[in-house]
Amino acid sequence: MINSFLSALVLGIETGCIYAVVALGLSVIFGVIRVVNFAHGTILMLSLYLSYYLFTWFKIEPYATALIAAGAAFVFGYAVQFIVVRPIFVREKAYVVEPLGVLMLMAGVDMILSSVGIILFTPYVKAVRSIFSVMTVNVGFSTLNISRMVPVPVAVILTTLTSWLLNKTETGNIIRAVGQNRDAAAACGINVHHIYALTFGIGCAVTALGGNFLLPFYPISPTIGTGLTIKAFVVVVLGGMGSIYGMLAAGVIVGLIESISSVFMPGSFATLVALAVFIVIIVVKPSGLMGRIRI
Amino acid sequence: MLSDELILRVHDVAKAFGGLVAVDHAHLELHRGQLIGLIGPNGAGKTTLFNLIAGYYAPDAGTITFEGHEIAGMKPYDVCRLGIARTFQTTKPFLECTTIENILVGALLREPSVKKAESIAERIVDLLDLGAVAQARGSELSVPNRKLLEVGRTIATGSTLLLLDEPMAGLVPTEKEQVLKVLRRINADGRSIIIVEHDMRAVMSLCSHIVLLDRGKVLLEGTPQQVTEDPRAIAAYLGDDYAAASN
Amino acid sequence: MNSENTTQLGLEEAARRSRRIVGIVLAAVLIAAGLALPFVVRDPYFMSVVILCLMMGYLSATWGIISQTGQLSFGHSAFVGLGGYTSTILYTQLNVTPWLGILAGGAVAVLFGVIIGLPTLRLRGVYFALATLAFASILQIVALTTLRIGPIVIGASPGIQINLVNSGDAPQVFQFQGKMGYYYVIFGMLCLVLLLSFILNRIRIGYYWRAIRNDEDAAESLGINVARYRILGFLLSCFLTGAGGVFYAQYLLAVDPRRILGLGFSTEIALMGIVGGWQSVFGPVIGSAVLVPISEFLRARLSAIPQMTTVIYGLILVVFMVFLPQGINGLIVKAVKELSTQASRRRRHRVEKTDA
Repeated sequence: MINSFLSALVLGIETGCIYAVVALGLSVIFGVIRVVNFAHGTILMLSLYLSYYLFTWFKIEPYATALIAAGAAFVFGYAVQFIVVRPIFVREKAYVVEPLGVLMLMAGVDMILSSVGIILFTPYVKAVRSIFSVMTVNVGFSTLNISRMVPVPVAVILTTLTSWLLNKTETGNIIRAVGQNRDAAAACGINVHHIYALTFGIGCAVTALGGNFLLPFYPISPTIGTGLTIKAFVVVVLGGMGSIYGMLAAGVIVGLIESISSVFMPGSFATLVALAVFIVIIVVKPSGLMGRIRI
Repeated sequence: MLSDELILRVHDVAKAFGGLVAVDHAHLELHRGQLIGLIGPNGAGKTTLFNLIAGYYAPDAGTITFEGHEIAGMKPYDVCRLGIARTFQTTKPFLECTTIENILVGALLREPSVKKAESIAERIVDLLDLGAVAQARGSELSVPNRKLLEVGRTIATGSTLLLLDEPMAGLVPTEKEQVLKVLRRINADGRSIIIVEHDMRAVMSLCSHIVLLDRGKVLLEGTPQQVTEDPRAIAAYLGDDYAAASN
Repeated sequence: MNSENTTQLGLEEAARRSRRIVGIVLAAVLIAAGLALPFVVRDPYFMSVVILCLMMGYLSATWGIISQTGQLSFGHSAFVGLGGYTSTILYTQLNVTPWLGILAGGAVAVLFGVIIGLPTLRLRGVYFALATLAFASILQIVALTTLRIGPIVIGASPGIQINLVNSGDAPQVFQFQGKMGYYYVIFGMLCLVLLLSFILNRIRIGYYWRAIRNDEDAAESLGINVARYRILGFLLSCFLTGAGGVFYAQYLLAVDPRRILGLGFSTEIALMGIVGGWQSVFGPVIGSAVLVPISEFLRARLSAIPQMTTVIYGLILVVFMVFLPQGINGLIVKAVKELSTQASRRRRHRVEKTDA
């Protein structure tokens, strides 16, 4: 009994760090500059497939493909924001902080990307088998797969890096300023639309970079995107908008909730618990979700 | 048409936002039919006071009594139901709706029939000389027209007390004359008004009683004559030029 | 001067009256055409597309009622599913006729609407949308994984089937031979919802909804209890949607949680509402009238690549969000406004000329 509990604990932390890695980019895109990127998981899916084919065709090791995938994701993210999302921001006034139009727009983008994914990559699940996939270590109560543990340090490192970027660099300050009041930022001479695109690109790149480390053990298919997106939103909101470390903690919490609940109830119920927590949080304590300031 | 009946009593009201004290134990009394001018430098707390009376903020301390009801902390729509309507400093018209429709919404409070509310709205449009833009959408209106629209909306609700937040800001002198005429007219009909305005000539000609707010406190109050001659008012708000000009 | 104004006003009144007459005539023609359709068209495939069109039109129209209050629901399938499951369970396990099931389905949908709506309707647009999405996902997970709750069978993954009674010819339990019966039911339901929306739009509650969705603070300053009017609209939508879910279940003779409670279904309904014009009365129906035939056409032509339909749906959504956020209805309204401005300008010239 204690063994299965400990295993659940470890699994929860591992899963939680996976969620954190996936949600990291969204924490920047949605948490900081308030772009409702409903296609987040699907963009990650595309970068995972890119890495998969780099591995399968060119025999580049999964961890090395990380940088390539990140670069491609950056370019793609920049383009998506600049071409497709920008018109809505041009149209909406600045006090509409998160325009609904962006949510529906990105849902449309999500539909396009995942369907194109199914057409190009076939709906069948693929997996990467590299030397890392099968390395294990025995820790007494269970045998742990090394590749599954990689996301943990990756999550911590990337979170620290992103937080540093946002809080301690000039670019990060500019990004946060734009996120808080884009009209005021524009009045200060900041090229707001470039910053939005840049941030979107960074968000995608960071997630692609971290997500790459999932490849050795996480089977991929073109439909995993939407599920990951929803998880990512749960984690970002739970952690508090704009708080990167909060997001990391939230990811681990969600992972633990899921793994510990699956000891007691069927697997998919665990997702249900996470969703219910999400609703409760945004209703009861949106902390980070600013309540509307009346005049 | 001033009566002795006290209808609004703001007593010892305070409101702070974090460390910033916006309203600092303010007092205000309004009698039925009175037209009070609320003046003071920017940031004095005038709009905050309006928000407190109208129900958008709840006071940290103090009481607000209107026609016997304790309204501090009430929701804005309940406050409006009791008879207080307000305009906004930064205009908030219903952008999709035409001028008539905007005012119609106000009239629907006491007149549930859309047809009858529409005729009330039409009369108010005539009153405010907004006929030319009656069918224009809120998004198409100029700022002065938006201000007039908001005044019209408050009149339409049939409220006994109107809180007007800088209704004449941005208007040219002839437009201001028009608004003054309208305000005098509805005041003569028995409605009470508290108006925040920076145009001292308008305030002087319109109001029987002036309250000067500075840093959240009521610095002084009295008749227009009393206030404008008081050295404290000159120092805090009016300026020496004004005193010199009026002498 | 005054006589010119009165003549002008008189002409405007006349113009308004003539527009109203055109509207009434148009509605009468459409209703008559709708009633006559099954006698003119006999092809069962065509009829099934029409029925699908009407049903999606109905569901988008009920979705649209929530949009009238300024909120966008991204989990509408939840209420379709609640309605469908309620009536199907009542019928298959308690022998309650689905006609009564319509009321029960609507009521259960309203009940759940209260549970999710009361706490979330006050949230900002995006957060409400995500909350409804989470809610619908929760319901789907429950339906997918639960075989039974006590004596009530939920059916888990494959859902619940409805058996044919008398080879499908059993109107007393909401089963019809052929397409005609279903057609008239959904046609009637759609007309009812549109009429209801139209009337609501022109009375006080409609004006209050318009005020709320334009500016909540200003609405409150005029005595409007925003929360109450929002929940009223939401619950009305829930009831009507639940009723629609009953039709859905009876038409397909099954409730399958993968479909009726799915995110894809929610997105499809919202998509039709947005393409048609999301905060207008007729917009959602226009959207489904345009999109359902397109998707059926694509499904037939591109049967080799079924995902193309989704790609095209996605493209349409993106294009509309970027270029036409007010949807097709917005275009029509703009066109009508242009024409009537030109017409009134011509009228003014005529008046000026006669005065001179």
